[in-house]
Amino acid sequence: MSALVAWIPFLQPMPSPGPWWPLFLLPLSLGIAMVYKAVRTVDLRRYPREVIVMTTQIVGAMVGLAIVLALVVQVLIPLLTAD
Amino acid sequence: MTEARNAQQQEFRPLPGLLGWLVPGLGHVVIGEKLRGALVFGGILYLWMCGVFIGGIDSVDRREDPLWFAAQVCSGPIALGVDGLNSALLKTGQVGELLDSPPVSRNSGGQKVSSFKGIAHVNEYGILFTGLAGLMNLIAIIDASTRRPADRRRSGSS
Repeated sequence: MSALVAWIPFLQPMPSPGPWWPLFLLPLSLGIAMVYKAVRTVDLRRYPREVIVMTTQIVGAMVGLAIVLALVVQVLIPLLTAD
Repeated sequence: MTEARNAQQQEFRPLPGLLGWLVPGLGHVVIGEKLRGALVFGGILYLWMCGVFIGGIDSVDRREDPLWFAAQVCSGPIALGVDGLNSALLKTGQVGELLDSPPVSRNSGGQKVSSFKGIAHVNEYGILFTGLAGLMNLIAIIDASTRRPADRRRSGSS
């Protein structure tokens, strides 16, 4: 809490979020989708929906990759190295 | 007919691209795509605000992260401005304080590092947000330079 009080936003890096840092992926995916869909969407009335869909796709793909990598590291590699 | 349309769409015009670099989205505005330009501007601004909010102005550093800076500078003068602020405020110790850091090698003396320097995940994400803002703006610049102006498209379709 004291770190938050002393923090000067935009000038100083924000206090470390600890184990919650992967959640930065959410605003990052949203920003990428906002710009990409602004360029690619033909009918801009569909823009909000397409941004939400693309953000969900990016986050879903990252979560999927994380699960696959976790399975490889936690399950597959211990099986291969076990005697 | 499709080939002719594609050829027309691929025609490269440097002015919208240059304007899109100066102010993200302005390239689309000058070819008549005002809403699209505003959305590009909003997206790039959002990525920059998030990046500097998370990583501070140390996220943009021309000397320490030159490759990332090459990506960041694609979003225009904002990258040069934030890098200038970093050099003028943090690296000179005008804001925060300069701390001794251990020497990298025996021959090199200890360097001074700002107490406001970003490290670990917040620094990585600050750089990533601003770097991706630049790369996404590069896509918008290419699109603005090759897209048919809205008035020509309307007259072509009628």
